[in-house]
Amino acid sequence: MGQKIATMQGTTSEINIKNLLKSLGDKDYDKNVISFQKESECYQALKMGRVAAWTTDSTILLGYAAKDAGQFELVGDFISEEPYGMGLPEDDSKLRDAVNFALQDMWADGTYMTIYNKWYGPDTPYYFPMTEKIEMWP
Amino acid sequence: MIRFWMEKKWVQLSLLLSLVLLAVYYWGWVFDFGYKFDWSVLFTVNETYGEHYGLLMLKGVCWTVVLSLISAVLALSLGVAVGLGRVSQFKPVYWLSTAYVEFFRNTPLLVQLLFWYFAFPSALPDAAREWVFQLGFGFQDLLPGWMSWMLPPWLAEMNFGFEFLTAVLGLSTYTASFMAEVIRAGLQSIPKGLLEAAYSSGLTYSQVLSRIILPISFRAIIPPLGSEFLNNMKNSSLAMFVGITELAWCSQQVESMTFRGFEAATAASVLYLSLSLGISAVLNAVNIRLRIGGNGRSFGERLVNGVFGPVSQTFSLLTRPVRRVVRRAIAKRRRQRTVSYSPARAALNKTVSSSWVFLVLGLKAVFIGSIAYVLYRALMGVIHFQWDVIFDNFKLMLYWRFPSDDPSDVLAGVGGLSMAVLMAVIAITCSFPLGLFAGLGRTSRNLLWKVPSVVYIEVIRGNPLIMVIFWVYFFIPVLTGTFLHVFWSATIALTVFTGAYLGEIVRAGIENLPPGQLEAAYSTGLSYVQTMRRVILPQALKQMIPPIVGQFIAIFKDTSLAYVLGVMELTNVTMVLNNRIMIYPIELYTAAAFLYFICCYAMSQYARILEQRLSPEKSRLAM
Repeated sequence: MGQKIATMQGTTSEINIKNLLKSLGDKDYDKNVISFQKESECYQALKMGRVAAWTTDSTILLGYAAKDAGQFELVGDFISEEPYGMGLPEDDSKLRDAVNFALQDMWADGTYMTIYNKWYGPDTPYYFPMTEKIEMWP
Repeated sequence: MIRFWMEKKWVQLSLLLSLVLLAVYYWGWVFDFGYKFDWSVLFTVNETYGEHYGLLMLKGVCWTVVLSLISAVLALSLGVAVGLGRVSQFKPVYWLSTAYVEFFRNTPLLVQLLFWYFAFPSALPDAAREWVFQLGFGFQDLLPGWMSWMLPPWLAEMNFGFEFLTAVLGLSTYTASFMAEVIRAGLQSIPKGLLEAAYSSGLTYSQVLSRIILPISFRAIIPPLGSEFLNNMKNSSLAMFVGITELAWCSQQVESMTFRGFEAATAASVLYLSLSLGISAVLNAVNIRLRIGGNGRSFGERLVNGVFGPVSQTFSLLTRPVRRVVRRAIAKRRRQRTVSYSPARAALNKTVSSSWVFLVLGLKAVFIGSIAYVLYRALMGVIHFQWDVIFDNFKLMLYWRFPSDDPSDVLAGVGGLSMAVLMAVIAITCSFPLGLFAGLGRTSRNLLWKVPSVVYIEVIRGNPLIMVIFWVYFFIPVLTGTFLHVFWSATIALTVFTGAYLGEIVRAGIENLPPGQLEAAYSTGLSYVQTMRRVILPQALKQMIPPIVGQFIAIFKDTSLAYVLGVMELTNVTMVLNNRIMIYPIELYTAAAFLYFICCYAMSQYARILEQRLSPEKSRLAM
């Protein structure tokens, strides 16, 4: 509150942070959110101190925080719950079912967590504890 | 037979109308775009986000107008100072002005803006940087308290902070360099005999400047200055890269939120066009008013005089008593003035004039001293550059990843400066036939060719290049159903954009020829094609070569805008490298600016040599 925050223009992060600031009572919520075109611009603004924070998808933030080890970290709770989805062609039920069941099988026999720990585990620069579970469909 | 009918205006008009109706019918009802148009997105409050996007775009227009006005005023003052410096006799001032103009004209505006916003703050001391970052004021702070109730809410919520200041700084320094050249050319267009007569009558430099030079050159300066103002308005679209929510930014916002790119781009183009046409209308009115000659009968003259006449009459009527009082006071003072001064007055004059000489000398010394100090500091800064950062990445900046076997890299991984050169060369060669036909169509009397050419040239020239890029990027895949790599989208957009400007250059070249050439050609029985091919175009093209080289320089600088699509040209390469290396933004941006500068400066020197060689009798710097 009261400080400037960077986002990328036209993303849901921009809307979410503005709504959050409005609900927290920051009356300058419109002026304090600066919307850039690309991630590289947001990151540069953060590095030079123009903004106090940068809000976007956590995976993107993890990547940039790992680049400059020790300088930046992810703080606070998730502002919004927006899991990534895979885009598939419309009306292609077979492909959709194949993808869904493959993911479920991976979760059921543990391959999912192995791959997850390979990239986001405690030994990696992108450490991020797993907080979700995949819903199993019959 | 056909030629007889085609010469009649009503035949041309009806043919044009039927073609337009046919096109509208085909594109509207028959062709399947595969895209659902949804114009209501501009006029209703969006349910998902609760925002009215039409109003958002109007707020964007507000920002564009405020940004262009403020930067134009600053650019004019700076441009006048630098323009006067360019004709000064004092060599350090002349060199400084020349260096300023050459540097800021030959680097792209995008690189300058990115430099001011991302690289410059790291050069400031910490306290200054903190102060600059927390700046923020609105219209309410500029007006006294009792007036702030007059501000409508959409003006009151505008906040001017660091982003706005960098955008204004970048835009005004860029436009000022162009305006300085325009002013210099106007000042130098005064016949030498006038100045000699003025000096030999005993007028001082400041009297000559204020009473002879400025009023006469005013008439020559105003038209090109107006077109620079128009360019400034179009360049303000680049402020979206530093976070200003002006019109191009708003159209992108609407597109991202609602995925209705076509509607958003149309709305933004219509708004930009209306701004451009409005400014052009004002310019034309000013030109008509300033023009010597003309018998007051043409349509433009009647319109402008019809509007201005009553206004100036009422103004002079209202100020009549004031003017009468002032006139009487001046006459009275003139009567009281004696020819010779009293001894005390004469002594005072003498001390003032001799101390004035010392004052000027002192100012010159101070000027040289401060310039030397600034140069010294800049030199120290450059010496302490991390040169290895630049040298390690120089090859990347020049040609990125060429040769590359990666199938996802377009054109074998070419990027950086070589991609910029490639895009500019492709754009100028492919746009040359386009511009030729547009220019020929513009000068023809047949409405069937004239109207489409005029529409094409005016619509493209009225929009900033960013909008043309967005149009090509959104529209071509919808139209052709194919996926186009961003490199080709950017190059097509550049080609279409250059074609319109080349059309205007061709038109100017053709219209500058003596009309006797055309008449002689027709009266000896040559057809239109033969006349154009053998008589008109060879001469016109010779005249057009310097402006075409100037256009090539402009296109080369405009390739930096392909950054918005993600094309790996020099500006994008610099941003990527800056992201990778992170701690040396100034070195990287300066290196990129230097590369652009070398190429553009070399080309502009070539244009100057060409111009001198082609028409030595009137070699004057092209504007």
